Parts: sequence; C-alpha cells; structure tokens
Amino acid sequence: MSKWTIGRRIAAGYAVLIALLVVTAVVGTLALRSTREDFTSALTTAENRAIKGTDALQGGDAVVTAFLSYLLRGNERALDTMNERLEATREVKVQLRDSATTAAQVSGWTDAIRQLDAWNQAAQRAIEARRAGRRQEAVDIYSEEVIPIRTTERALVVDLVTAERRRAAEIANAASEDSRNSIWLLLTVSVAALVLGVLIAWALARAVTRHLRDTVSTLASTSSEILAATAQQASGAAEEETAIHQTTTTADEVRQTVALTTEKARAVAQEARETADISRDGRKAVEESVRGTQEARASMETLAERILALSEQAQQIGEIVRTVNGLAEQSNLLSVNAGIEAAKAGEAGRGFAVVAAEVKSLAEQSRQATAQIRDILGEIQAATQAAVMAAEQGVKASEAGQAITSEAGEAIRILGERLVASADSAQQILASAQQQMTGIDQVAMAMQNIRQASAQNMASTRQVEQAARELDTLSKRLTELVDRRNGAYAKA
Amino acid sequence: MTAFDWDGARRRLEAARLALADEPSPEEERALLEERARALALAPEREPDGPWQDVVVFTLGGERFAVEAGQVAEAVELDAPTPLPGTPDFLLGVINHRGRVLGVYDLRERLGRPRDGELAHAVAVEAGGLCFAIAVEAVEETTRERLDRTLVTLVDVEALAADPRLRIEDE
Repeated sequence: MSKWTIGRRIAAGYAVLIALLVVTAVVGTLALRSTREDFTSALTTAENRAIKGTDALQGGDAVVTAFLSYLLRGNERALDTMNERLEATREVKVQLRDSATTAAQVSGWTDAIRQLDAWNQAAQRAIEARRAGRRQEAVDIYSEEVIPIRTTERALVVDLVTAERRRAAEIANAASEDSRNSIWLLLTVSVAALVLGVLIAWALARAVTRHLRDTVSTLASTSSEILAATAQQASGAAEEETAIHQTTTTADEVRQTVALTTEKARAVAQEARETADISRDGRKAVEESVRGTQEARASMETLAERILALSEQAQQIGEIVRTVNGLAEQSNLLSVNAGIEAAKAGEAGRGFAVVAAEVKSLAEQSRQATAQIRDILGEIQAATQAAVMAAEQGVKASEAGQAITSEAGEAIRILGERLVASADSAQQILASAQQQMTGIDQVAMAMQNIRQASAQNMASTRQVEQAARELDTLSKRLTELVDRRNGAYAKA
Repeated sequence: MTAFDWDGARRRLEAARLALADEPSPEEERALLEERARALALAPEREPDGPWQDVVVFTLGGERFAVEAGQVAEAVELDAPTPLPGTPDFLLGVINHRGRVLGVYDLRERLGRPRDGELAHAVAVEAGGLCFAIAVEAVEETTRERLDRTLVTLVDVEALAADPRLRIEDE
C-alpha cells in the first residue's frame, strides 16, 4: 500500500467509492424491482382470483336466473343459457381450484364445484319434472333441494371470494412492507457508503498530505541545496573562468616558449652540424699533428743517436787526451830527469838544463792543454748528457703529446659523433616542438571550447539557479498550502 | 718558448770546426811565442842573488818539497809497488829500478802532511850509501832555487838515510 503512488491511491479510493455506489444502486434497484414484481404478480393473481370468484358468483346467479326463467315459463332457450352459464361457471371454478396456492383454497373450491354439480343434478330433476308437466313437483324440488344447495353454494362462494379478496389485501400489505424494508436497506447501505467514503477520503487526504508534506519538505531542502549548489557552481564557474584564462595565457606563453625552443633547436641543429664539420677538420688537423709529432719524435731519436755517437767520439778524444797527458807526464819526468842529469853535470850541463826546462815547459803546456781538453770534454759530455736527456724528454713529451693529441683526436671524434647525435636530437627536439606547437594550438582551441562550454554552463547554472529559486518559492507555497489544509483537517 | 737559434747554432758549429783545424791562428802563434820569450827572459834576473842550488821539486800532501838534485838518481812513475809483509805502513813496498830493488817510503806522516793524495811518482835517491825511493804525488821540475827565499822545504835525504827506522830493509 505504501508503495502505491498518490494517483493510484486516489484512483483506488474513488474506485472503492464508485463500487460502493454501484453496489448500493444495484442492491436498491434489485430490491425495489423484486418487491415491485412480487407485489405486482401477487396482486394480479389475487385480484384475478377475486374477479374470477366474483364472475363465478355472478355466473351462479345467472344460472339460477335462467333456471328460474325456465321453471316459470318453460322457455327452452333459457335452459340453453342456463347450461351455457353453468358450464362457464364450472370452468371458472375449476380454473380457480387448479390455480389455487393453498390447501384451503383447493378444498374450498373443490367443495364449491361439488355443490354446483349437486345443484345441477337437483336442477335437472326439477327441469325434467317441469318438462313432464309436473309443475308442482318441479317447484317442490326447487324449493326443497335446489334452493338450499344454492344457498349453501352461494355462501361458500361468497366466503371463498371474500377470502380471495382478503388474500389480495394481505399481499398488498406484504408488498408495502417489503418496499419499506427495501427503503431501509437502501438508507442503511447509503449511510454505510457515506461513512466508508468519508473514511477513505480522510485516509486518502491524510496519506496524500503526509507524503505531500514529506515530499514538500524534501523539495524545500532539495531546492535550497540546489540553490547552494548552484551558488557554489557559479563561484566554481567563475574560478574555472579564471583558471581557463590563466591556462590560456600559460598556453600562449608555452607556445611562445616552444616557438623559441623551435628556433633554438633549429639553430642548435645548424650549429651542431657546422661544429661537426669543424670537428672533422679538427680531427684531420689532429691526425696531421700526430703524424708531425711522430716525425718530430723520429727526428729527435735520430738526433739523440747522433749526439750519442758524438759523445762516444768525444770519449775517444778523451782516451787520446789521456794518452797525450801520459806523454806530457813522461815528458815532464823526462825533463826532470834531464835537469837532474844536467845538475850532476855541473857547468857542462847548463845548456842541457835549458833544453830540459824547455821540454818541461812543453810538457806543462801539453798538460794544461790536455786539462783544458778534458774540461771541454767534460762540458761536452755534460752537454751531451743534457742533450740526450732533453731528447729523451722531448721524445717522451712528444709521446705524451702524441697520446694527448690522439686523445684529443678521439675526443674530437667522439665530440663529432656527439655533435651529430646532438644535431639529430635537436632535429627530434624540433619535430617534438612542432608537435608540441600543434598540441598547444589544440589545447588553446580546447580552452576556447571549454570557455564557451563554461559560459554556457554558467548560463545554465543561472537558469538552474532561477529554477531552483522558483522551486524554493513553490515549495514554500506548497508547504503553506499543505499546512493550511492540515490545519483544516486538524480543526475538522 | 723562444724559437731555437738555428743560425747561431750553425755559426757556432762552424767556429768549432775552425778551432779543430791543424793550423793555429796567427794571433795564437804570436801570443805563444811572446809567452815563451818572457819565460826565458826572467831566468837571468835571479842569477846574481844568493847561493843557488839544483833541486828536484815535488809535491807531497799538497805542499812543495824538494831534494838536492845531486842526491836524486831518477824520477820515475810509481806503478804498483810490491808490498812487503810484516813491514810498517810507511814502507809501501819495493820497486825494481834499473835492476836494483828499492824500498818506497811514504814520508807524509813524517813530514806532518795528511795522507790523502795519490802517490803517482817516486823519486829514487842515493844518500849515505843507501838507495831508496820517496813516493810523491807529483814531480814538478828540476830547478835552481835560492832555498832561503822560497817556500819549498828541502828534505834532508842524508838525515833520512841515517834514520834507524829506514834500516828495516837494510840487508
């Protein structure tokens, strides 16, 4: 039941009410119709029977009148009439008996038919007596038999007719009672329907109002929430607008940066290519330098070789000098000994002493010369040693220089390769920067779209805000309405 | 680094080549002759003064000594003398001099000189009937000296010969 919608509840309530009304109407109509039909049929039957009874009574009288007329005048035609009437009356009585509903009526009407037959027998005997001319006998039969039977029969018929009339009156009374009952029933059902209807209406109103109040309060809170949300959304949209603006500016800046990057990357690629060429030249120069260094080294080694040869020759000179020195020493000794001999010879040795002195002087000079030569040779040796060491150092230095130059060449080669790689990288950077540029353009476009969407969103938000405001007002009005109605119910 | 002076080097090499040539230059020749003339001219100047003596001058322990030329047999080079076992340090050994065996003496300790120079020569002397050799560092010259006016110390060979320590190798 609680899952039913309000419309469904209302429809159900009305359906119940309509069903009640229909039931009431049908019940009332059926009751009235049955009452009326019963009444009509019963009344018709009773009245017909009363009328027929009356007919039988009158027919009996007419039969008696015709009999009397025959008796008095001997009119045969009256006899025919009497027989005709008698037959009709008997027929009526038989009909009444056959259509009787109670045992009393059956027995009563059977008795009446028997008496009529008895009367007829008596009347026939009187008629035969009359026909035979025995008037007196016919009058006697009439007065002694026919009249009493007739009197009894008539009284019986009168009673029967009276009973039939009474019965009709009873039926009418019963019908009246039935109709009264029907009216009561109708009234009762109507009142019950009214009460039930009121109850249903109350329940409906209550249910609807409760749900409506809940819904309205929910609506109010929801609308206020929507208002708050739209306010937030509005401020958010403003922030979004700012952010979009900043993003667009940033994207522009990035775009400029990327343009700069592109330019720089192009320049770098160009420069790297040129520098790679330069490095190739540098490598060639380094190779030539290495070759030159190798030649210089070879020259220096040759030089060292020559210097060593010179040094060895100088050594040979030294040996010669040593020999000369020895000669000088011996000359000296010779001069000393010559001097000794001259001294021993006395005056005779004077001239010899001069020669000895001269020899000594020569020896001394030779010694000095050899000493000088030795000094010079020592210097030459020192110089040679220095020169050889210098040459060695030069060779080492040239080796080191060659190694360094080779390293430099290698470095330049690697540099060249790196430069080529740099040029490639710069090329890739260029391509990337161009892609980036395209991407940033797309970003800018997207930002434009977002801005438009945001503006639309803002407008929508304003509309939503307006709608929420209206909804709020509506909910307040609804709340008032519901509360007023509720108050009215409460008062009721 | 300044560039090497190759032209200068070539000039110097040329000069060296010229210097090694056989003929001395005229200037050198003239200078040599003048020096010799001076040396010869100086000798007579000393002649008039004092008692002159012929001596053989040698160096021993860095000092100049002399012995009388008349006592000297000969100045010789001192090759390795043959050492004699069981003799004092100052007897360096014996040498063969013209068929005679001479003891070689180191007089530096006796003369109060340090024993640090190489004794390359020997002076064979005769005194007091003894013949022996004095090991010396260098024999300088035979000259006439006025011994009272020079710094040369005259070694008294007679006294040496009379020294009983030198008798060791006396036969």
